[in-house]
Amino acid sequence: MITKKKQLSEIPFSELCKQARTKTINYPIGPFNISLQTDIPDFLQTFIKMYSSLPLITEPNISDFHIRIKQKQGIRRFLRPQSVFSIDNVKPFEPYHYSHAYPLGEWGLNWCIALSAHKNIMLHSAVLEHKGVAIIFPAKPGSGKSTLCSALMLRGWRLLSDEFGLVDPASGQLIPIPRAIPLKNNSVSVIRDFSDQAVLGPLFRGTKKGDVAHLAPTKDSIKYQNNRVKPALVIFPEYNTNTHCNLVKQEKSMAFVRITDNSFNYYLAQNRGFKVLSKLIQDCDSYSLQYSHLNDAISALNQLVEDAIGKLQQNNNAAIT
Amino acid sequence: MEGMWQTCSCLLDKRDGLLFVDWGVNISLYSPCTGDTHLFNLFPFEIIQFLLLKPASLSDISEYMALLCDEEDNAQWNNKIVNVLIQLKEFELIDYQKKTTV
Repeated sequence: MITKKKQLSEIPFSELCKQARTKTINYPIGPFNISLQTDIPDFLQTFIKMYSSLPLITEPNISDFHIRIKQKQGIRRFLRPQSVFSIDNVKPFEPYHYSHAYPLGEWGLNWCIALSAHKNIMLHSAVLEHKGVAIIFPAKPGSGKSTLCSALMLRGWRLLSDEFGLVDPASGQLIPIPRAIPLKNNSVSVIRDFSDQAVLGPLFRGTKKGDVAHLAPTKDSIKYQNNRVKPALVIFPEYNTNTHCNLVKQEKSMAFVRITDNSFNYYLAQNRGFKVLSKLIQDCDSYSLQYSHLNDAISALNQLVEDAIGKLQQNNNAAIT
Repeated sequence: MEGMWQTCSCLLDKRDGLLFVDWGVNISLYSPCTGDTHLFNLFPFEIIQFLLLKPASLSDISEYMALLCDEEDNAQWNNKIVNVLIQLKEFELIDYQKKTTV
């Protein structure tokens, strides 16, 4: 008998609060099992809003990360309450203001993944899939990657990741980790105005990265979080004000330089990194994308996806005949 | 320069040999010694491949490359080769052994 796993939103809030305080909430994000403990109701409220359709793990399991986000104890909590992130009882960061517990939790999990996913090649990139065509968007901070990624997701693309492009070295496939997208400063209102389907969390003012609000991954992104996919395209996005949307094919040797530049663990992976990323660039077409309007960028990318599908069908037909 | 030029001993990966990708105009070469990845045009890469066969003197390299590129092997050409060799040495891809006299 197959039993449907309970989703986060199906459990009453009071029950979840109790479970998170006294035991743990266990859930999968892509390849990772997370065990979460918290005594901060605001954190939990945002967490549920972000991941409402996330299936919970109820059977015994081995967690990859045991995370605690708790209110700092002591007399100080009455004067200036703080939230503390810990993993396996180690506190890697200074406490944040109590009200910033949620961004602390998301950044803390990024830190955990960045430190421990070295069996994969990690790219600082967004990854999305549309009609079976997966695109890697490697980019430096400030290039508008998260905003573009959010907009694509809100137009029906499947989010694999906003921050980590995880490449499985054995298969060359991309491993999804659909997490909440942290939108910063102006991007928050841009995305709020872009779509009324956007599920946004509260605005956290004055965090270490500016004003931040999180955008929930779509239900389909969560539902298909175990579906790995081979990349077909690599796009280097760059937001520029007052630029015509410009999609330019990138020469492969330069694309290789740029993608290794955007890898968290290319040096650490040594020759494995070289082999995996050079193969990826050989197999994918690469483009640089400059844009100032999201809708223009999305139209250009949709066209690119259609072209990729057409090319694939041509290849399949040629293989049959 | 009367000594011999040779590739660094670790340039060849134990399992895969020389790790490189030919992109057409450029070559990406991985150095197991330093963990660095280099982007070259074909010219320095040909020198590396020549030195992988056996250590060679400047005049040997210069002569071989002149033949390959259909150039005249003169002092100017020699200087060009020396400049590339020095750069490759800085990248720790090749090494220079001075000629020892007893």
